Amino acid sequence: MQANNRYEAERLVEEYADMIYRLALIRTKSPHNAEDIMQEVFLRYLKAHPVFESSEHEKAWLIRVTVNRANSFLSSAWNRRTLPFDEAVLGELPEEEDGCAVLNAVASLPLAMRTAIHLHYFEQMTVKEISSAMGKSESAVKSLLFRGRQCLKELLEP
Amino acid sequence: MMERYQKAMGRIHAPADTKKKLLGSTTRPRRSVFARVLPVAACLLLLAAGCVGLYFKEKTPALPTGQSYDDIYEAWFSNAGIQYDADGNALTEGGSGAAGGSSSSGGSGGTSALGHYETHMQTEGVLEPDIQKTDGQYLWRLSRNMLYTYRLAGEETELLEITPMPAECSSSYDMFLWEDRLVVIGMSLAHDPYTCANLYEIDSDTGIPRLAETFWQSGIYENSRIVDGELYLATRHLNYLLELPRKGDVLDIEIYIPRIAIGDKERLLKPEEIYLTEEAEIYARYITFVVVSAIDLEEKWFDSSKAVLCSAYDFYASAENIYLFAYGPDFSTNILCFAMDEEDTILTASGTVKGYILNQFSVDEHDGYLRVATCVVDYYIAGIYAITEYNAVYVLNKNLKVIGALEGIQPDERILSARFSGDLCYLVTFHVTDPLFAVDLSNPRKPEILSELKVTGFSSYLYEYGEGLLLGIGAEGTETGKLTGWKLSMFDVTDPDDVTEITNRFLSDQKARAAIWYDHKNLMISEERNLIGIPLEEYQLYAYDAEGKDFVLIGRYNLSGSYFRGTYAGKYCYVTSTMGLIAIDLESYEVVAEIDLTV
Repeated sequence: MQANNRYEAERLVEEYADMIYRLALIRTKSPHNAEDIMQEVFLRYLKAHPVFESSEHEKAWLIRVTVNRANSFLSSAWNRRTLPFDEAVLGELPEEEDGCAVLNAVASLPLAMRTAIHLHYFEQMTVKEISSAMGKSESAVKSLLFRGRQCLKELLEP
Repeated sequence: MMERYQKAMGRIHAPADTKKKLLGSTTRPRRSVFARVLPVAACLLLLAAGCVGLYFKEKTPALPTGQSYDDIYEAWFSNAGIQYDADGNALTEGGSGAAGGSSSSGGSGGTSALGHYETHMQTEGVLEPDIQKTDGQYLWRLSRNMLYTYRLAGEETELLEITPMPAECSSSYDMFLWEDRLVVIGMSLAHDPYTCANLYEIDSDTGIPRLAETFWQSGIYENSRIVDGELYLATRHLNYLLELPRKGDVLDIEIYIPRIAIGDKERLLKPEEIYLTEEAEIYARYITFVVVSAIDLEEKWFDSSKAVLCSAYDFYASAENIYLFAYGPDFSTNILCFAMDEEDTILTASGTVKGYILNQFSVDEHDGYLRVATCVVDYYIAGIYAITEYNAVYVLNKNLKVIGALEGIQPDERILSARFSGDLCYLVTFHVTDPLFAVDLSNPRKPEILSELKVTGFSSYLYEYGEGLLLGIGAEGTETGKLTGWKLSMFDVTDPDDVTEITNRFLSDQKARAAIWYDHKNLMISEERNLIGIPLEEYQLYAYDAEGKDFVLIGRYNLSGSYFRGTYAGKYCYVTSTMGLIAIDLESYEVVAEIDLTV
């Protein structure tokens, strides 16, 4: 049993590390906290041994745990002081300087809104999947996406 | 628009070394010290709690407390139904209160009689923690969960000892030097986060600390202060619920109640030690408390421990009161005031202001009033989706009722720094240029703007540098608002109706995130010694020439590592980082000693 878990855990890390990191990053805006969250999510997995019926189920579980773990870092006084995205986070200079602008715009949205935006536009999740991952109703999710797009338009195309 | 997001986000990857660590990990999470089954009735704590209960309280609490754990469940349950809605659905604003604090503020950042640097104190007499402390003879520095002890002696400076933090402490964050003791605050993140305060006694002959006791409190570390030998420790305790209970469901609420412990003797907080709020902003899936304890460092026990159901995000302490700032409904902040009292710290007032505070310097208690500078964000105005920000200064009385307000300061700009000084408040906002406002608070009911100075860039930290001088550290920018680097500014505030900029000095065009932006403790500022230490690509030392009205560069020093801290003792300045220490002779300005920890 232990061996099985080990291989499963490794597969999960390979497949989902980026997804978890990015989601934790857009929620906490702190690469440091995002790394801690990554570790916590996998620890949780090791502790809970969930059995997944499908890869959608697996993905939803990981996203739910990431969202919840990220919540515990949200109100942190340190966290609020971190700078928005800059070249340090994006790595080498992006070809279009805009990379920072759009990430910062999304990061400046309220928490639930930017989570829904990220899950829909980057992780390509459907409204139904997002509603299950975030624990919100489908109409709330639609509302968040609609308003999120409005807000981003204001921010990026004034 | 969204393709740009996909592209940009696609460039971000989980750090490779974290992945490697995870792949290599086969161990299960370590059981925290609290997983052991312990008898709740630990004699010592029961006795202390019993004594506290008997003591006659003169101050009346501002909020009801629980009488049983069922009350706690009810209060959490009714609040948890209030969700934070991204729309900002309006909830009624609340706030009630009773007696509050008094006394004035007034910071100190300079030397003691012994001639060494101390961590800046926003309020005189209220010790603030930092990762480095010195008494002039020794220097203690926290780095990567180890405590380094140095003997300071100019050229002969040496590393004496490296003390690892206790095993349960996965990381350490802050430290106090109090009398001949060090208090190191850390956290255990093994399962549910706990915060520990480790009390070390310093050997008077060698300067080496020895662990005497460890205090535990559940939750993530928020902040702490030491006043008169009492350690006030604030944490945020959150518990995630996998399933949200419905009315009538049974929930074993005791699992979620905060705990305190000394060594391995622990207890739950009692219902009467937990205050119940009505309009807190609590994430439905979380039972969140802020826990405030008063720990007697001499007697080595908890004088009192209280909790409030709320989502706290910031902290400020005057000489008599601790204020916690929590998310309230509708982009507001609930303020909770705890009176510091070694017999029993109780919640004496609660109130609400619009917007959010930036940091501890946005708040000041003075002459019985609490002044707060906030940045208010509105996402939805009059049926139109718009994102606007404006700034405000509120004056609250002892009961934390707003009695004076100045709102709508510089709409579309957000507050970037603030500093209160007696009857004045200096405020910096920024969008394209930086207005530095001087706000008159002599009439608490009518705060008024006295002057507005526009300069390029903005200050992210303001510091009173002696009579009539205000030092600003922050970013430089062009006339169109593009940031170009970091600078020092000196403002003449002798006449608040006419604040002027005396001079400024461009420091560096380093664009990457600089620690000085978000943590003022990175800066060493002493107007008494006329030293300003700033870590950028190199550690830069400046002095201010009042006659020549200019900043003078003393030197630029290379030291690798991060989390720089400068300090001075006698005629030397010492700079430490995660990788070592250098000693600078303040007469020749040369480095006379170097200690490299990586060797």
